[in-house]
Amino acid sequence: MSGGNSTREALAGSARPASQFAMEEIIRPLAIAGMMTCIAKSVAMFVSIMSPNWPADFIVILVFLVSLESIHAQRLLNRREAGQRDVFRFRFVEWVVILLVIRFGMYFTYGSQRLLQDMSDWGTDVATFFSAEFIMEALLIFVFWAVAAYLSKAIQELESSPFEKPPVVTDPDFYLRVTIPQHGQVDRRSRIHGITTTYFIGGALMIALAGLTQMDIRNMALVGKPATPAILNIMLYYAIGLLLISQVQYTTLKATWENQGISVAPALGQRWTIYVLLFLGLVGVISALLPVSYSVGVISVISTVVRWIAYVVLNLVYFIIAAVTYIVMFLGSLFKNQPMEASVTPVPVATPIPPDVVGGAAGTASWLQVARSMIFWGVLLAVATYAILRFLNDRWDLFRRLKDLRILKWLADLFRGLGKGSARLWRTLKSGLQRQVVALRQARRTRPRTRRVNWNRMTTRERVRFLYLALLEYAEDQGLTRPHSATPLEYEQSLAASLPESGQAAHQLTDSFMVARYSEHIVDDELVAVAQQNWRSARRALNERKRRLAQQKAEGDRG
Amino acid sequence: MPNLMVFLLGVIALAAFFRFDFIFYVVYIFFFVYLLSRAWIDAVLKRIVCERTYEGRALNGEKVPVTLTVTNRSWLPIPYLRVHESVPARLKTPNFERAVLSMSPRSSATMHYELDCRHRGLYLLGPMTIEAGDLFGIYSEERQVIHKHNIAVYPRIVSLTDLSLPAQTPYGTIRRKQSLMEDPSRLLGVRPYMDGDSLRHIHWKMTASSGQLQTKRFEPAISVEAQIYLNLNRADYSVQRLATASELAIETAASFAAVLTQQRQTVGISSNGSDPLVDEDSAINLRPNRGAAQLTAILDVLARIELNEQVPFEVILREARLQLRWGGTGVVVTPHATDELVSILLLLKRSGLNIILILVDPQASFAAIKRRMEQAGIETFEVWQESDLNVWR
Repeated sequence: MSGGNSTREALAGSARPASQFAMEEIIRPLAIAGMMTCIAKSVAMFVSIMSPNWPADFIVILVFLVSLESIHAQRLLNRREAGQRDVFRFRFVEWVVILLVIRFGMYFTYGSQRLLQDMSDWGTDVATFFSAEFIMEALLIFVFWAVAAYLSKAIQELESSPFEKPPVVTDPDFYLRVTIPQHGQVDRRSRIHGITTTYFIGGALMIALAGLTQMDIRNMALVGKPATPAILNIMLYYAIGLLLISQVQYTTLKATWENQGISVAPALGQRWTIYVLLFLGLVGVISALLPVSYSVGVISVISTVVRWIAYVVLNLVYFIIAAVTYIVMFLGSLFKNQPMEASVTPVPVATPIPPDVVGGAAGTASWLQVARSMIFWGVLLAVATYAILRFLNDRWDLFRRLKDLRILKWLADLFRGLGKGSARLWRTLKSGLQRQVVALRQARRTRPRTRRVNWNRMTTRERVRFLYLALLEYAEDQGLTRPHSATPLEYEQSLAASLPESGQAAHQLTDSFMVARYSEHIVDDELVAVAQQNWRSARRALNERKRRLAQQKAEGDRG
Repeated sequence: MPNLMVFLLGVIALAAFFRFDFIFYVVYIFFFVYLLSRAWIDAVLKRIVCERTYEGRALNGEKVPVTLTVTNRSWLPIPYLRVHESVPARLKTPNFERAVLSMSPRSSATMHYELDCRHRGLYLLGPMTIEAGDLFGIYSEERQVIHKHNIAVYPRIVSLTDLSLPAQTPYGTIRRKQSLMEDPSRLLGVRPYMDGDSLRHIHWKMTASSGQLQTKRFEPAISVEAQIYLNLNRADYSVQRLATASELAIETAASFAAVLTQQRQTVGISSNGSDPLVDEDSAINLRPNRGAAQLTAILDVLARIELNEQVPFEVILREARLQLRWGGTGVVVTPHATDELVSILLLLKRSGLNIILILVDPQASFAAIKRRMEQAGIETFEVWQESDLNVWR
């Protein structure tokens, strides 16, 4: 499937002008993927409220990548004109890879501990691999994948098809061509309609999700306004959507002109994108300058009207449901010969007995569990290896083309140059750093250690601990080092022996430290103040001791 | 963008339900996209100027280049400009020239195409229309920028050189020196006096001013005018050969006019065909004259002329005596010679005119007609197809 076709693809790709290639292969996929990502971001914001641990950021990034993959796969299959069997294999491989990415990618959020824990579970119970969360995420990703593929396919179908050009009478396929339904003409209007409808539905969904995010569902009341990121996300979606709509318009016009045999100015495609960006920028600036605050009154009136309409409609629906239910119950009662008012007293369901704790006694796993685990991992690894290899092989042409891109070559040269330069720089820095480190170590040995701490940011408990540790460091600098095996109380005794005049302060500071470090008692500011007072007393005593020792040493030297 | 209004109303309702005022930004964006798109295209289209450059006359078989210049005098660019120029199908296949341009502010673009002028006639180029639209498919407008312009394609002119015609006809180079044949009313110029010149022809004023005897030169009276009479009455042609024979008649007339002009003879044309540039269905009549301008005038008429049913050919011929002086030559090109036509020709012959009859669609035996006309001293020819003109080559 990839041999001769890849050559044809390469030829087809090289025949297109660079601007057209960029438009079809870069701008459009990015625009579609961008739109999908914006919607995914709204969904993620909404879901994160209900489930804060949900890997929202990962899902958003994955939606972007999966959308790009979906578009690329759709174009690839279309170019290759693959058979049904090939398409099935291609899609199977694609989805295995996507599912693996979803399954293992979510642990970027959950962490490696949970991955190891879940992996141990998968070996014992395969069903846990397909957890409800994983299935829901896969379904969500599938929706975005499908919508991206639909948009890409719809835009691609807008392009000119050779079957649309009227056949020549002498063409051997003339009869075949003229008997094609609608003579091979593409219904572009319906495609455009589908694309714009998708765009509008996506925009409305985002607004609805932004609203629901700010809504107290129980009381059906708004509790706030959407956050700025949510608003920017919605605006970005509309801007990207307009860019895509303009691409749709360009594709439609170009196809029409090509079918009519009209020569098109070569610079049109490139200028089109520039004009769209400038136009949207202008519209954005004008819109941003216009005020919206005075319109709150207007929107309040509209809001009241809409809410009344919603209220009436909901009550109408309730009434209809109640009437239908009543009629159905009435008819049911006729057949059962029971009075309509007879109600069934609900029987409370017994609380289920919790299952026995399994695993504690399973220190020695049975051979069946080991076999099942090995089979699971064997199958998983085999499928994953096959899928990843085929996945890469199917897209090898893309990687090759990416490698040939001028900008990537330039970046590679740049990185290579930077690498050589940075290696030299690193060698220089390394030697300098080593010298500096040695110097710093020597200086550290001679000078008291300093620590960058922010007293104001510390809690009261941390402050007490800090004061005690400062005392330890201060004492250590003066030769009163605390042995590693000594407890605070033991060290306190040795410190009191060395500093008889401040033994009380050392004792109180140690007590304060033990309260802060080992108890759950409240450490208030008063305790901190006392600890500070004790620390100052102990420091004064240590300084006094130091001075005294220095004098003794000087006198000894003189004597 | 289909469903734009439905979407906007839905979004406003949704935003109103949730009490979002930022939705006004979305409304602003769509509003300005719509408004600015319309304003942009309207403003630019008003400042588009187009020009068509070409030669308004063409010889048969000539290729005429046409240049279309589109100028954007606006300070705004145009996303796309679709240019459509309508061209007569007999001059170009396909019968249009189209292109899509992308124009920067204050720029111009040119389009070129060629007209293959293989068929005589007066053709209308254009109209030229331009269509421009916005970037989102919201608005597009088409305008007609250049109206129709004429181009006249002359009939085919067959080079006639060997005119084996009667001696008294003015074809060929005529060198007559007999004073009797000179018309003293037509002074041509003066020349130095020569022995044998009449004293009556001495130009005394010029002699006095130059100091030498000068003799007047007159136009030779033998150089009589020729008038081509072309019958384009539809009813006189057979249905089967209507198009072929009428075109052949026009071609014959054009060839005669060309050769007579080349030989510096005076020539004119009369016809009962209709001129599309003239509203009235009156006969066409160009008085005999000489020179390239006269030939151009005749060819212009023959390029435009069409079949008509209003004026009988006999009416044209009866006026011939008023147009031609004695000795003048009438070249009568007609499809068929009816009895009435023959009687008129005989009358003209007796009036002192030289008549040459050329039949392009004889509906009776040509030999009989020829015999009858030769008895009256009228040379008769049949031109059934273009190669029959070879008799004069």
